[in-house]
Amino acid sequence: VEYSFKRNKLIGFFDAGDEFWEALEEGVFRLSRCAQCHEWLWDERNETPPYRCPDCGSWDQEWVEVDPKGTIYAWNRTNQPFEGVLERRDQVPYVTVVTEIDDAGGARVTGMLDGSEDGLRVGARVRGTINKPSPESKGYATVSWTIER
Amino acid sequence: MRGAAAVVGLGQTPWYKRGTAPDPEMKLALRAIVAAADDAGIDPRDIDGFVSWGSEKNAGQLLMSSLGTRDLRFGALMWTHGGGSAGAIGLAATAIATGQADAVVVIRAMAEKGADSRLATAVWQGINPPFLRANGQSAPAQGFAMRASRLLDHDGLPRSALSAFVRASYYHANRNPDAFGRQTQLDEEAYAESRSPVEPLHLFDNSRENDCAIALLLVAAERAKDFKQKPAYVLSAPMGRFGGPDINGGQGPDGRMTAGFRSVAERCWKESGYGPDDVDVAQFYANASSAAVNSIIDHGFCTWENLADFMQFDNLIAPDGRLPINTAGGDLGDGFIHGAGNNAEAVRQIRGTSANQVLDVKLSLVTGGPDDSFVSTALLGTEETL
Repeated sequence: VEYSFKRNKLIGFFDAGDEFWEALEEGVFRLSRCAQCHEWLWDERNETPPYRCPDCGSWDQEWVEVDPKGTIYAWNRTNQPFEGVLERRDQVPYVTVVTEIDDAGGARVTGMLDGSEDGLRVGARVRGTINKPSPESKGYATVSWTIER
Repeated sequence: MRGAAAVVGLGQTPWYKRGTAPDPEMKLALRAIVAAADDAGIDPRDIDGFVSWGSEKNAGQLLMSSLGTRDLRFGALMWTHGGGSAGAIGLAATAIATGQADAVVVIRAMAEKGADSRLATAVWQGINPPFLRANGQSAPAQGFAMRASRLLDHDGLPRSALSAFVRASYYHANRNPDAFGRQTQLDEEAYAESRSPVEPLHLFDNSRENDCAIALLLVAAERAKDFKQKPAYVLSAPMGRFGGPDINGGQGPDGRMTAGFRSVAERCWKESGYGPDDVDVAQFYANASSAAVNSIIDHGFCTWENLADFMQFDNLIAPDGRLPINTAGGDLGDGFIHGAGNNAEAVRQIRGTSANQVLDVKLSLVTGGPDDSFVSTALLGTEETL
């Protein structure tokens, strides 16, 4: 498989890991856990799996399909285009949320908010949709979130 | 290390609008360092150590040829972004206390002329992770707004605390002829009605962006009185991080966000022998007001429960508020080069030379950038606090 994100690779000081982006491009939402003790391995603050399980010391991980649902941990509304993400110029204003995933030990995952902003607040229930790579997402597949009513 | 070193020299160029400094960045750095040496009465050639933080590019070895440095003995850059601004003072004091160097400069210079010198590289280092940039997130203001939503919606941070913090900063800037934001009048209504580049924060909740250079010069405490200025002794200036780093914020044991300082502040109080109630004046690094207010809680100046009472405008104002803050205007109203202005103002308050001087200052606190993945704080004191 030739992954779009690999042709558009962004270098950043944290990354969710190739396995995360590969799975999203395949239409599956996967997060990482320890292959040995099965603790979720996802630095919830930086949305990246640590290299080593801090509990049991294992270096091995497994990427597990997770139901993309959870609660909004934090949100913002961008009212002007910003350098570095000008591809979304025409979408301004837009809301981005950090979602705390139900079934993954409190893992948090950033994504755009889809649909109505009605009920937007920390704690709101959301469900994820996986989106194909686009110019707006810089060639990365993404997960976006819709407030459940 | 307590009291082993003191700030004896202070040098600062004017604040310029970003990208408009008349000099290249390194020349600004040199001007600030030479001014700090002159201020103290030290020959610039005798400066033998240089420290900084974040993305500072003007390392000591690059400055030697202009300063005539005789023997460069110490150079170090503290991690990471703005979090290290106060801890760099501690790094300088550590070098002096351990005999690695005799006269150490804490330098921070920023001149954002040219494509590679914009905020992205000068402060934020422009390398946000893919999961943010794929989702429309790039600017520091977006990250702070994201975390502010959690503080406001979930943790119970009252908007009035942000308003008071911002207005106190601008009140002092209005009375500081050197402040870049001295002409910006900001009452409660103007704050509340200002536009929001990124909600839930307002424009005025965010720091400025300037060109400037600021240098502090430290020597050993036992010879601090040989120089021209009243020494500001370093009582404690620890670094560290509590509650996990950055991006989505760290959480404390109470389930509320921390700006990262809890353990760092505890060490500062323990090493210095003082506590929040003893502090006469404080400069809180304000990349965003929400993160700064969280750092005030982390330091123990108030609790979540009495936050709204403590964070009243009148309490935060020089000369006689309960805890005057950001008395030069701070990162919001004075000027912003990654927190360096706060270090300078903390020293001026010890000397008695602030434009908004607090009465009878003995203890002066300055914090590093809140919400950074690694933070620091510094408590300076007069001779009688040793």
